[in-house]
Parts: sequence; structure tokens; C-alpha cells
Amino acid sequence: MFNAQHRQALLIQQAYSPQAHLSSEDQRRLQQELFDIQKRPEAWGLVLPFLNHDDPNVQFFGAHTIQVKIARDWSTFPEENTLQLRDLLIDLSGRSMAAGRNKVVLRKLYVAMSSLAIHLCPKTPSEWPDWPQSSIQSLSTLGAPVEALLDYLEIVAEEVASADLLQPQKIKIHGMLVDCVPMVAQAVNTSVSRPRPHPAPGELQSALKCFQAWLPFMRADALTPLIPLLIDHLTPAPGSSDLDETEFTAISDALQEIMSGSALSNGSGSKTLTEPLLLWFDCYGSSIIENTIKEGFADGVSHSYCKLLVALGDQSTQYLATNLASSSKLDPVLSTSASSSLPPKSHFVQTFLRQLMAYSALPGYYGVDEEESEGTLGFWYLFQEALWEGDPEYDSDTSTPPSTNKREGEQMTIAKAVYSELAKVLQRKVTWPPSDVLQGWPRDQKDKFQAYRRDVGDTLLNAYYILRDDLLAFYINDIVHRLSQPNHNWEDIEADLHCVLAVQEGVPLEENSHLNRLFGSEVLGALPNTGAARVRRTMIVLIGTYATWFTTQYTPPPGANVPSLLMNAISYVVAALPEPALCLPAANSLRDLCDANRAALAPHISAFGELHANLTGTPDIEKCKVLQSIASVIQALPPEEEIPPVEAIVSPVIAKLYEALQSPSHFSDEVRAVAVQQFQTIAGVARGLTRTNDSLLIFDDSPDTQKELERMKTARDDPRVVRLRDTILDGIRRSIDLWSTDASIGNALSELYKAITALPSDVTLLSLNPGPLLELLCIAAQKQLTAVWLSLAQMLIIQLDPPSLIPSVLKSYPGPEARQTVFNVLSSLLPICLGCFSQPGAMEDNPDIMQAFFSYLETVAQHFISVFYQLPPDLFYAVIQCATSSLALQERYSLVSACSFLASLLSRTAAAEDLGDAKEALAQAHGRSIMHAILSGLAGVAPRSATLNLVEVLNILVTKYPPQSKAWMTDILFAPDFTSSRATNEAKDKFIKTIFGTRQSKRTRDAAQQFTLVARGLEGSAFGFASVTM
Amino acid sequence: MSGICRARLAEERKQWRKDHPFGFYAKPTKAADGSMNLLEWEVGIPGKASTAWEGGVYKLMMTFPEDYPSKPPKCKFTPPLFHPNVYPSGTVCLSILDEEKSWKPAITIKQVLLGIQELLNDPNVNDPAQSDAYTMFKNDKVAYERRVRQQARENVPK
Repeated sequence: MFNAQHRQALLIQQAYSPQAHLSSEDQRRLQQELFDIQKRPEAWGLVLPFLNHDDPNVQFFGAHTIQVKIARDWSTFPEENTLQLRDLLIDLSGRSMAAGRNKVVLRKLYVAMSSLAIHLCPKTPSEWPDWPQSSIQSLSTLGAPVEALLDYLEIVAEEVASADLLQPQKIKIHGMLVDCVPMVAQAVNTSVSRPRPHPAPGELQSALKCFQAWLPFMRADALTPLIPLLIDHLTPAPGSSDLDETEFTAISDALQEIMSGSALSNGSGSKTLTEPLLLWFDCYGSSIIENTIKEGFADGVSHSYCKLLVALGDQSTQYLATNLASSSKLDPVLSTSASSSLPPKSHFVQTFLRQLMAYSALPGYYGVDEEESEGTLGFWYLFQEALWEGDPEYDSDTSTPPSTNKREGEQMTIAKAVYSELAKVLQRKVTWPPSDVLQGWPRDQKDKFQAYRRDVGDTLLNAYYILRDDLLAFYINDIVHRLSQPNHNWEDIEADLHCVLAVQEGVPLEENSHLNRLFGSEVLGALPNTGAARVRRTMIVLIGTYATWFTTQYTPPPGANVPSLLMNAISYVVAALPEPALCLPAANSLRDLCDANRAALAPHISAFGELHANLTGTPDIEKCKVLQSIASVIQALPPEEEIPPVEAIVSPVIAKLYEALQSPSHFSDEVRAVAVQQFQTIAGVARGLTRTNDSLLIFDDSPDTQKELERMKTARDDPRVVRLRDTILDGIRRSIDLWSTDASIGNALSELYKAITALPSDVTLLSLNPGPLLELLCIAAQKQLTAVWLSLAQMLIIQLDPPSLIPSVLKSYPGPEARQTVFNVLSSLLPICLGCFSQPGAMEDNPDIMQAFFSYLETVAQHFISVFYQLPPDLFYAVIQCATSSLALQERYSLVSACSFLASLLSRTAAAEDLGDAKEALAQAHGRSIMHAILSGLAGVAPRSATLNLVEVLNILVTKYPPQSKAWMTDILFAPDFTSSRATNEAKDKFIKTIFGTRQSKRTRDAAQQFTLVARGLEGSAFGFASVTM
Repeated sequence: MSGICRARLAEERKQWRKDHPFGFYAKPTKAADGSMNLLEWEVGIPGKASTAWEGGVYKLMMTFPEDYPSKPPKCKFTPPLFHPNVYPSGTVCLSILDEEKSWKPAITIKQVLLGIQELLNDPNVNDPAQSDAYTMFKNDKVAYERRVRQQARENVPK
């Protein structure tokens, strides 16, 4: 035994010794060995000798072992020995505390005692009554020093707070801790009240940590008396002029915890907490901040002070907002009496705001020179909300802001001054450094600064809600002023632009003189067109972000001798297209501008022709967006006028596509990539040509709309456009022949299909008819069946039977032609799909294809139910067969979509008037097998999460085929070979009777769910109940 | 909005302010007049470093039901994302967001967002929410990654 212990002690020393220089492999092996030792029952026997070992590493392992055994192997511990273990543990801990063992070892013992107590206390009768008090008593008797006892109490509270307890036990143990609060408060008070400088700084630290850990158990009346004591300790000790960093930080941490995690964190305690702190800040805060600015960085005290300010800001936001302009006197509860002639509350609140602002505005760059400013940002939005919240007109439920009148007055004047100052300092804080400094920044710092700029942007939005146009005026004046200076710095101007960009979502869509200046000659006209990439990039992004604002402007026609803000913006963006660094944002902004301002830009179409002609330097990927931009402008032209420009922009793309298709090296990646790019470009153009609004036009039978549609139809019949469409369709056909199994081509075609097809009311010049596209999908699916082809087929089926309230002027849908197309496609897709699913494991391995397949079938059933009954009977049989076997799949997606298909098939068939005896024939041929699949699924074959989906199908069977359903159910449920389950014959009988007693959907659902629980043996279990009542 | 829902969302906002993972953002949306809607949050999820998602910050709207946190929030990428477990509408399919699967009222917004970030580069093959990304992921990982990188480029923060 001794030898074994010795060996294990050596192992531990090896594993923990920093001198051992173990390889990570050896380290892992040793750890594993130690872990295995701990798992054995004999490990209990190691605790005592190890704790008495000379080496602290071995002592630690002893303490760790007892903690782990109690936490993990408690169920195997003999119950009759628990009290012995408790007494032994107290004894061991008390002695270790008295012997001044390493804190790491002691903490493990405290955790072990707490875990044991959490096991023993709640027992009836309790096996550790009065646990915290009695253990403190015993440990104290054994000689444990105060500091160690405070550490132990800290762990007690932490362990109880994080223990995963059942409610009754939780109430019992929490109650026990609440009863101990006076003892703990007394202990903390005694330790903190010792004469300063504290004779045992470690004890003070322990007392404050213990206090923080106990805050969740303390009522306000218990912790309030301690607050003046803590605030007193913020002040330097008598005779010392400096703040002691360690002591100040510990006290500040405790105060922060009171404000964020105690009974007072909801903002209460203004007299005992808020006001005394404000008074303290007023007396001592300025010198901390002055010192920080003088030294050029925040030391430990300053860092902690900033956190304290932020904590008070969070806790007392409402107080600060309410008293921003208050003339009433501060009336704090203090340990010593304050001067009777204190200034008004507003003085203290404004001092607080100034100090917090000083941290928001610390000199230098965030992340390099300072780390404090970011932490203050959150306060400014809370404060803005609180300024509104305090207003009687503010409805906190709907968060409606108060009316403008109410927000005027002194309070708002001060608030505006505060936020103006904030807007000014944040502009400086988001300014990028000069390039020589930036070059020295590692990537992490750049990322950090970028994220900081974003967060500042959020804060500025709140400043905008206070300042509105004044904020825009400030930034734009600042830019104009900077531009007027010789040698102005573009980074400063970029920062101003970043701030204007950040507030865009708040700026209303209406005429705005400041934005007029921004996008006019004063600012935009003065920005560079070359070099200075960052300021240009930000301006380009800014233009794109404000794209819709330009709709508030009058845009003069070409040739008019009036400057146009929109055309200026477009020119500025377009000028950046050839530059690789700016091309992406420029293309995106151009797309947004053109999309939002179609009608205003349409008269300028010839300018876009020039743009198109000069696109040679633009990479294809961005050119796609430029063409989409141009197309969106073209869309605003009358249909017949769209033809030449559409032809002009699409023909070169088609030519490039055909080059790739006819290339001798068409199997190379490069050639395929060219084809993908051209398909993406055509898709972009098709999207641009699609109207942005009026998606409900289909329900609009006004003469104007009809005329519009008629005009589009005529334009579509123009031979030039017909030729374009034919060439595109042929390009698709050829690429399917060559490359349809290529994933990128598949993806590009999918995007193109979605962009270039439309409901009849939304057709464009380029829209392709669904019929031929469906046929091409069949070819693609034949080569390789994927969910993409099936999803597209589903989409096109809907286009063949578009929603319509009125007979369309174009065509009456769905005509026999459409029906025939659907039938042809179905007839050719079914054998492909069913053939694929018949491979072993194929259904399980391809949940995407299964789901897409049934969704496609469901759509066919919804729109063209009759085509199913034109199928050869054996093919139809195979479909049902496939659907019913899918009801047994464990994979939820396939199962759910199979259920939806069956539900649609059954209900549509029953509802169709023109299908003759199909309804009866369906029941006769397949009713029983569908019912069998549903009941087996409910009884346990299908996952429980699919119950509701199965019930939906069951419901339809029961309502559409009542007598047959009853017979099938009886027949199936009582058959000897029915899925084995826990459902007795009585349960089955009850199931049937309940359903057919009323045949109400709700009863059927409840009965089926009850049957599911019974069949799976979950009836009466909390789990079963909780998971069925959804 | 129920008291529980409002208090919880206010607390979530507070916790987020105190501590959130680097590169993420999350904030309740505001109407034009500045009034706040606690039930709808705009959030940004950065792609993980050293993955094809790196460099992008993906915008997502979180919509909280009135009975949150009993019911999970709905998470929807705007614009919709190319990802096997994101529906064509942009809605994210993830077990911790499904009340019939792993949703628990104790799950925090931070955990949800970290879970979605994790999902970005580690899709779940059992949840085919959109056929485009799923098919490409299944059939050609190289092409899939290329497409994802292209998407990351489009989502570089402003």
C-alpha cells in the first residue's frame, strides 16, 4: 500500500513539476493515469496521506481527489459512513487552514466541504444542520484564521449559487444561507472596519470577495449598512495622499458588484448608494482623471475608477436622467455628516457625465493607447433612453418617445450639450491613425479598432435621436471647415463621414439641407477622385447607404443646366469602378443607387450606355453588379424602349458564354468558371429588369395595368428579344449537356432559373417560359439527381398555375398545355427519383433529395392533381409505396415532407370534381397501406417529433373515408403482426372509439397523441406530458 | 409584451453590454423616431478565423415571441445566407432554436449567436434547409468553399 502511494506521489510530482519538461504526449499520459487512479474506490484512501505530504502538489492532488470523489462518485459512497466523512473533512480542512496550507489546496477542500454539505443538508432529517454556522464554529475551534474562514464562506456562497438543485432542495439550502447573512455581514464588517492601513491586507481582500459572493443572498437592509463603510474606504487612508491601488480596486469591485448583482441593482438606494458615490466622485474623481491624462495612460486606480463610473451609470441611469437639471439638494446618507450647503443634484450629475465623457474621450487610439473608452459607450444609449423614459409622455410598453415639445426645456438643453460634446469626441476617437502608425499595427489591433468604430457608430445613432439635424450639421460643417484648411488630413474627414454613415437608419426620408451639402459641391465635389482610398471608400459606402434618400430629390433630365445630386453621386461611384481596392463597394453602391432611383435615372440611359462601353477594366464579378444596375435603370423605360439597351448589355455576355461552350478545352476549370460568371451576370441583369414593387399587380385589373402588361407582351414578341431569349435558353441547354454534374454550374443555373422566370404579372423582356426550362431540368436530373433540380421543378410548377383573382389577359392558367407539361415532367422525373431511392440506404443518405422530391410532388398535387391519375398505375403505386415507406424514416425532414405530400394528395383527390371515381379508387388501392404506415409510425416506428405530421394525414383519412378508416384501423391495430408496442388491446380500442365517437380534428389529435405515449410507455411520465402539450 | 419576456430581454441586453464575444454585435431595433423594439434585435455574426467564412460579418434578425423565453427566438439572416441549414427565407435551422428539439429557456442570446457561428463552418447534414448550398456542400466541397468565400467578401463590414 505504502509503495503504491509513494509511486502515485511521484507520478503527481512528475506531472506537476515545471522542471519535468514533459512532452505534451507524456503529460497527457500522466494526467490520464492520475485520472484513472482517482476513479478507483481506493482513491478515498489517498486523501489523508496526500494531504499530509510535504509537497504542495501532492497535497493539492489529495484535496482534489476528495472533491472529485464527492462530486462524481457520490452514488457509490456507503451511506452509513457519510457523517464520518463529514467530520473527517471538517477536521482535515480545519487543520490545513490552521497550518497555513497553500490557498489552492485549501480552496479545493472548501469546495469539497460545500459539495458534501449540498448532499447532506437537504436530507430529512438534515445530516448537516446549520451547516455554514456549525462548520465555521468547528473550523474556528481547530485554529483556522479569519482570512481562511472568509475564503471558505466565499466558496460556500459560490457553490450554492452554481449548484444544479431541484426546487425543494434549492429553497431549503438558499434559506439556510439567508439565515447566515447576519453572521457573514458581521464578519465582513469587522474585517473591513479594522484600523487603516489594514493590518492584514489579505484578510481585507478575502472579506470583500466573500461579501461579493454573498450579495445574491442579501436583502437590501442587510447590505445597506455596509455601503458607507465601503465608500469611506475609497478615500485614501488618513495620513496618506495617494490611493492604494490594491485596496481601491478591491473596494471598487465590491461596489460595482452591489450595483450590478445585488438587491440594489435595479436602481434603488439612491440616498445610500447613488448620492454618496456622486459626492465622492465630485471630491476625488477629477484628480484621478487629471492624473490619467497627464500620465498618458490609465493606471490600475484609473481603470477601476472608470469601471466604477460605468457601474453607477448602469445602475442609476434613471436617477441621472431625472436629475440632470434638478435644482434640489443632494441628501446622501453618509457615515460622517456632510456639509449642509451641498450644491444641487444637477451639479453632481453633470460632474459625473463630464467624468465619464473624459473616459470616452481619452487621448490616443483605442486598443493601443487606452482600453477604457469602449466600456463607456453602453452608458450613452442607456442615458438617451432614460431621458425619454423619465418623461411622463413616454410609454414604456410601446417605447413611444415623448413629443418634441416635452423634450425641450432645460433638461433637453443640457442633454443636447452633452451629446454634442459626445459627437465631437467620438469623431476623434474613430479617426484612423496616419499610415506610418497604422503600418505598425498588427492585424488583431486593426480588427479591434474596426469593431470599436462599429460600436461607436451604434452610440452615435443614440446621439442622433437627441440631436437630429444638429448632429448632421456638426459633421458636415466640420468637413467643410477641414476642407478649407491647407494640408487637411483625409483621415479626419473620413471619420466625419463614418459618423454620418453610422446614423443613416435614423435619418428620415425627406428633404435635408445638410445632406444636400454633403452630396453637393461643398463636400462630395471636394473629395478626391484618385488616391486617398479610405476616405473614398467610406464616401462610396455612404452614398450606397443613403441610396433611397436621393428619391427625395428632383433629378433634372439630361442637358438641363442644373446640378443633380444623384448624377454626381453616380459619377463619383462609377469613377472608382476600375480601382481594384474600391471596385467592390463601388459596384454595390451603384447597384443600390440605381435600384432605388430607377425612374429618375431612366432619362439618363445614354450615360449608362457610356458606362457600359467603359467597363473593360472592371473584373467580371463586379461587372455583373454594374450590369444589374444598368438593367434596373432600363426597367424604368417603356417596354419597347428597353429592347436596344437590353440587347446591348446582354449580347456580349451571351457571346462570352458561347465562347466558353464552344471552347475545345471546355472541360477545364477556367472555361467552366467563365461560363458560371456569364450565367451569374445574366441572372443579375434579369434581377435588375424585375420591378421592385407592385408584386401584387396580379390582383390589379385596372386598365392601366392591363395596358402595361399588353405593352410588355408586344415588346417580348419583338424578334430581337425572342432571339435573345432563345439564345439564353440554348446556352442553358448546352451547358446542361456539358457540365450539369458540376456543382458550380448547378448552383449558377439554379440562381439563373430563379432570376429569369417570373409569374405572368412580373414578366420582363428576358423572362423564360417555364415549360422548356422544366424539360431541361429532366435532362439534368437524368444525368445526376440533386435536390436543386427538384426544387426548381417545384418552383416552375407554381408558375404554370399562378395565383390569380381575375382571368389574365395573357393566358388562362392552367391550360391543357400546362397540364401536359407537368405530366411529361412528372412522368420522366418519377422513374429517375424512384430508381435512385431504391438503392440500399439511398433514402437515409439523401434527406435533401427526399425532401425536395416530396415537396415537388406536393406542389404537383396542389396545382395539378389530375396528372397523378394519368400516370400508369404501377408508377402511381410505386409513388405511394415510396411515400409510405418514408413514414418509417428516422430522418425528420423526409418524413415530414412525405406526410405533407400524402395529405395534399388525399385531400385534393377528394375535393376534385373532375376525377370521377379516383377518390374511391385511391382508397381501395392504397388507403389501407397509408393507414398502416401512419399507425406504425405513431406506435413507435417514426420519431415522436413527427407525431403531429402523421396525425394530419390520419385526420384527412378519417374525415374523407370514415367507414373505411374505421375498418382499416381495427384490422391493422389488432393484427398479430402489428408493430410491437406497449399499447394494450384496451388502449387500441379506446383510440378507435375516441376518434370515431366525434370525428373532430382536435379529438383525433388528442387521441393519437395519447396513443403515441401509451405505445411508447411514456404515459404518465413528466417527460411525456411536457412534450405532448405543445 | 409579458413582464417575464420584457425583463429577460432587458437583462440579456445588459449582459451583452457587459460581455460579448469579439466581433459580434446585437441590439434591439429602433423605429425612425428612435423608439425601441425589444422584441426584434439586429445582430451580426462574424465568420470564424481560418475558415471560408472569415472576414464576413453576417447580419441576422432575431425575433422574440411574446412568450419568450418559453419559446425560442426566430433567427433570420438578412439577406438570406448560402448555407445548408438556412432556409431560402434566411431562417436558421438549428436544434437549440427549435422548441421541439433542444431549446431551453436558460439559453442566452450569446449562446444562440455562438451556436450559429459554430454552425456556419460546421453544417448539420441532417437538416437540409436549402437545396442550393446543401447540394454543393454534399457534392463538391471545393466549389462550396469557393462560393462561401465569395459570400464572405460580400459581407465585409462597412
